[in-house]
Amino acid sequence: MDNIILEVKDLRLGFPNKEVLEGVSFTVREGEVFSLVGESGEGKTLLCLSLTQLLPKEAYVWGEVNFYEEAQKINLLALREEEIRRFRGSRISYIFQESLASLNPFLRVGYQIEEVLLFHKGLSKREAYLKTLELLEGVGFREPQRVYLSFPHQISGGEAQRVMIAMALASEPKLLICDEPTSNLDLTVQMQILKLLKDKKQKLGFSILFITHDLTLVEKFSQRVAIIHQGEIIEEGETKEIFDNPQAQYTQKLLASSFRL
Amino acid sequence: MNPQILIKIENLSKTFKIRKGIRTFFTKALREISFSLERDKILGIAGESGSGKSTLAKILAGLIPPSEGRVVYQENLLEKGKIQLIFQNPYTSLNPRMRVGEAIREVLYYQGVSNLDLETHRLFSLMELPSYLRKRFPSQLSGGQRQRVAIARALASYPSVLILDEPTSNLDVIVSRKIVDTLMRLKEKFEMAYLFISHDLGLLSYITEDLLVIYRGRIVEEGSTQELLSSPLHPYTQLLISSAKRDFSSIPEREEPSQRGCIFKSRCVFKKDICKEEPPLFLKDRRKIACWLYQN
Repeated sequence: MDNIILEVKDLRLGFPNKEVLEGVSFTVREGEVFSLVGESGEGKTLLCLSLTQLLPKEAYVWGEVNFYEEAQKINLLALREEEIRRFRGSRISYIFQESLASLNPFLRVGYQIEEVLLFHKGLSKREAYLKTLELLEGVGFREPQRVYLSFPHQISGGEAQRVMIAMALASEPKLLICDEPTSNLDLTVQMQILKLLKDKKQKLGFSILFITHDLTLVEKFSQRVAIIHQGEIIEEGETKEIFDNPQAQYTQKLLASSFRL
Repeated sequence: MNPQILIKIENLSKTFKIRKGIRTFFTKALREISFSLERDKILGIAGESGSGKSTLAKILAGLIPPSEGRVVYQENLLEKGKIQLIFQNPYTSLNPRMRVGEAIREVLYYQGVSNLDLETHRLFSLMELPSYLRKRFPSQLSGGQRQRVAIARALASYPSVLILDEPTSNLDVIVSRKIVDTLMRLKEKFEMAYLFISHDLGLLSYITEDLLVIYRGRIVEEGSTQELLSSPLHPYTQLLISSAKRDFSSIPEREEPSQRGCIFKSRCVFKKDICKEEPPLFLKDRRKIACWLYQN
């Protein structure tokens, strides 16, 4: 449980005219859910993207992002494009808020999942097809065939998010980065998706870096949490401790402001 | 009509016609909704997307007509601007080419206010907006400031009813809390009634006195907010509350809503034979529940 899988060290990023993160450090341990909380515009999404060099060219990134694999330390920021591809979408997978926007509208859903298997796992076409159906069934579709053949516009938002989870898990990642995965969905659908993530995590043993602004969710879903404010992490620790006894003034304000049942 | 009642809705239904190619469909957005909004009250409406909450807001404001049933207004509500609507995205309700101060002056002008500058200034300070923002365009304001401007403009016509349709769902936690607190303060000052529409049960529990829970266009439960949230009776309300509390022990089912009989039937854990029939609203302890479990 205490093995570190990802270590972000003094990460600074920004654009020529604007500094976004001013030195952020945190670690994600094996098998845990680590939440990053912050208001909009704090650079949470940029942080996620920077981990696998997905930022636009004009952005600058300094610092270290260490990914640990079999006791080896790999600095992701120092890798060349061909090398980072072995991690991006493979050992490190993403799920974004706009799941429908992450799917190619011209391609059938099934094909897009197959692509991951063909590229990262090197399966044959036939194997990939069967594995895709299995994955779709694994994320709770009763008729995987129908979803396989659907185009993105033919499925609902909740279904699209399930497809994204199937796609993210296709490469058997060690770390799943979820950027507000449920904020566009209905409350009851959100719970279905979160439950699915939770079950999958338990079964497959990956870690989750979870980005959200929903404090109730953080409290129930993650073991540890970091709060970002004005480009810095102002508080980090066990979720329960922070929620029971917040130290930073901003955290106190945030907790006092949220409407919770 | 009872002078305490501002708006009364009786058996309201709304059907939309949807054309897909050559075929025409009808969807019932609202079915047999009845309730009344009382003076000085804050009534909350909770529902997920597709429940018909925004349609209801538009019908109450008179923007679209109901298909069946009627809406009765207290006489003085029929004057211009007495019912105001605040939407989730103030960007779409403010003219992008008009300075926000101008947008408010315009309303005041048609209200026949003589000292426009003074009154605009007063509304800005009421909404805790610095006065220099008057010269800005909506795009130059932050989300929270824009929503405050939208509220200030609504207040410019001294409304008796404010219909708020997810007014803070686009905003950050702290900003949203501040706006809600301002709204509460203004309610006292202006003696308004609020109809607060939201999917956020935490927010509704904080401000509303009475609550309607709607699902797929039907009222499933109605009662005082505190009682309803502390001991929900309808299975859907129970599911909604445990979801809002992020309680992972209650596994939400994923089924399509039923077409016939009780709309919640296919997702319900207490399903019985009688659920094939549509349940009326049963009365229990001052609460109304559309569920056969509470038949007696």
